[in-house]
Amino acid sequence: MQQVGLVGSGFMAATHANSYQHIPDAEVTAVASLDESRDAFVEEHVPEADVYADAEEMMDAADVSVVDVCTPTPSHRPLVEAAAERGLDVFCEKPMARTLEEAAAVIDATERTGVTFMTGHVLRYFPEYAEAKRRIDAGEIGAPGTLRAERLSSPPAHGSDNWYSDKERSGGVLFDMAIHDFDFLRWVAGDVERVFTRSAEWENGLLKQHAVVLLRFEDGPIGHVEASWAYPEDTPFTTAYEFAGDEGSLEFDTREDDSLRVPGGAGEAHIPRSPLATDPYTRELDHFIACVEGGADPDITPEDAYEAIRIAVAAVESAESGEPVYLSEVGA
Amino acid sequence: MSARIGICSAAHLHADSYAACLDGLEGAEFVGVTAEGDEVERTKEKTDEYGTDFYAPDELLARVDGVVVCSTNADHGDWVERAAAAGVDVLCEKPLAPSVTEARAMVEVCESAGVHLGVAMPLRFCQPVRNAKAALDDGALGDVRFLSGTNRGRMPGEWFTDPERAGGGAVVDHTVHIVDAVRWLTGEDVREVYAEIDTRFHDVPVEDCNLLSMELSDGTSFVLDGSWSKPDRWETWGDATLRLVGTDGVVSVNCFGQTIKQTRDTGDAGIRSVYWGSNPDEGLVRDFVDAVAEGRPPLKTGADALDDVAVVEAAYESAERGEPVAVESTAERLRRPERTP
Repeated sequence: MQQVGLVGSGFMAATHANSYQHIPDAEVTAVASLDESRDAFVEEHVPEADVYADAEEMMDAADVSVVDVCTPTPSHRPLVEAAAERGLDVFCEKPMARTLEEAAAVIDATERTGVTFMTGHVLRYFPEYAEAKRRIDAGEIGAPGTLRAERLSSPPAHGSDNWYSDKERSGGVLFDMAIHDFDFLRWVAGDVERVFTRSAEWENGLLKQHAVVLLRFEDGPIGHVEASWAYPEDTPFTTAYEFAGDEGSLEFDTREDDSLRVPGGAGEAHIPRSPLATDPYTRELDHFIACVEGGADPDITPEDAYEAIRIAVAAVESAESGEPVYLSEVGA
Repeated sequence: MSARIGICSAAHLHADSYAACLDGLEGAEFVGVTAEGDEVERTKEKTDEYGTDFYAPDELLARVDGVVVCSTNADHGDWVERAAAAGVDVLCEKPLAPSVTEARAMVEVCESAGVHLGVAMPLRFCQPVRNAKAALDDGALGDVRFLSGTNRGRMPGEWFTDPERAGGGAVVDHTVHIVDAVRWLTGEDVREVYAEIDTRFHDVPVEDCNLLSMELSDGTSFVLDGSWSKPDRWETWGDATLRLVGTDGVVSVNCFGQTIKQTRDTGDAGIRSVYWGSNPDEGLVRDFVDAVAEGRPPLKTGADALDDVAVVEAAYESAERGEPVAVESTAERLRRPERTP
């Protein structure tokens, strides 16, 4: 049985807190958050847990064996280091870090201490993506030619202190949104040789940004990753893909998923959102807890998380320089 | 009086649709078809389907006021030149030519002969595109900052994969429709292109992957996937889509999104989507026929198409050099002072 100390009290912390309720081998015993909403958060999601304002104090004083980091990106490194130094296993939300230097420090801390560590590239646990990966691996589309992925949303308004709108902290859509698809496509098609980015951004109280990254994989396929925080408020979060190879293609679009619709919104608040028996976040955390319990290495390695950041760094450099950027020139 | 119209070569399959649009069109008389060389046989075979007659080239050109040229890309220039010499207006299948040099020669020959040259850009007559233009012109999107389009298809085979007759592959075939639509919608030209192209779907001597990342003259980003990436057994021929992201809103257009899902156990068995939306070719052919009758240029002129062809040329250059390439618009070229030797 693992005692989880959750760090953060925002949207993702709530998602994880709810997921742990479905994982028999884990319970959230403590929550630490700088935000004053922490008491209300605990009251609503994990009423049995102890509340802390300081994460390190929680690590020292609370009954925790695992730390789950659901905080703004720049705080990932110090929090993972603090947990690792105390011998606590760590789960960290994506992106693993804001910069490659921070990412390297995270890897160093977790390897040096030998703790179990995993980054939340949750897309790998979305069945519609995992199934595509399985079919591509089985050769069902033949050799991949073009791999397109879209992730479209209104700008996130739920971040504390509007941190998503601060590119210094969040990295913008390329670090926060496109990184999901960078990791997934690298999982499917291997390492990336070069990227070329177009990005448009403007302010409207929140950072609005729309970007497309063309990727050339070392094995030859061409990727198109489109990420947006430019959609109007209340637009349903949309993801889509089209993976085409020389023997067929796979297409998915959330806008076409009609498995559960509630016309007029009647009683919507009382209807579970995910039309899956086990939602992807629960599958992700369940795998991590199983690794902690059994001593196995998690499917998503620190190197995977590092490489996803390297692609994002290259994509941002390309957007700024207007030139293609080769991954061999980025922090390798 | 009716405008008398002919079709020069049915080598391009779009001839079938234009012929169907001409059939019984008010104000138009569909006189006949012509072709030369190894396109004669295919074109002659079509006369029954089209309900029209086959003539030798000069004979047809003597009987018409306007022609639609649906030959291979490489032969566009010859047909346009012959039509111009006969004083006949031309609607040319896209792309106008594989290179800017050839395209410019076609524009010049028509100008000096005093005939109008148009290019077949049906998306300007696609109703969803027109609705998007209305939203744009109305300011509903604020400032447009990003455009993302697709124009995919199956690998078309035949002469389309012959570098000599087509002038290239997917870049030549599937770049200009959306580029023209974007230029028409925004009033901006493409000033830079970065291209990732390759041959990965089929064993053909031309590229079938065509992903372009562009910038418009006002700095707006514009990306386009014009690959032949649709499997042979896909539900229809391909797609044409465009997403316009503005500071005040987003509009997404799927030009051929109005479809019925048809399943047949017998006959032409299988599952396919059947388009039921308004046919943009009808507007295209209507505009050309009216232009011929009124002695005005069609909505999309050959001169305007030079800037589309320049994007195609720049895309190949970018892929060759592995870097973004500047596109010089016709307007910029004309403003540039001639260099003295």
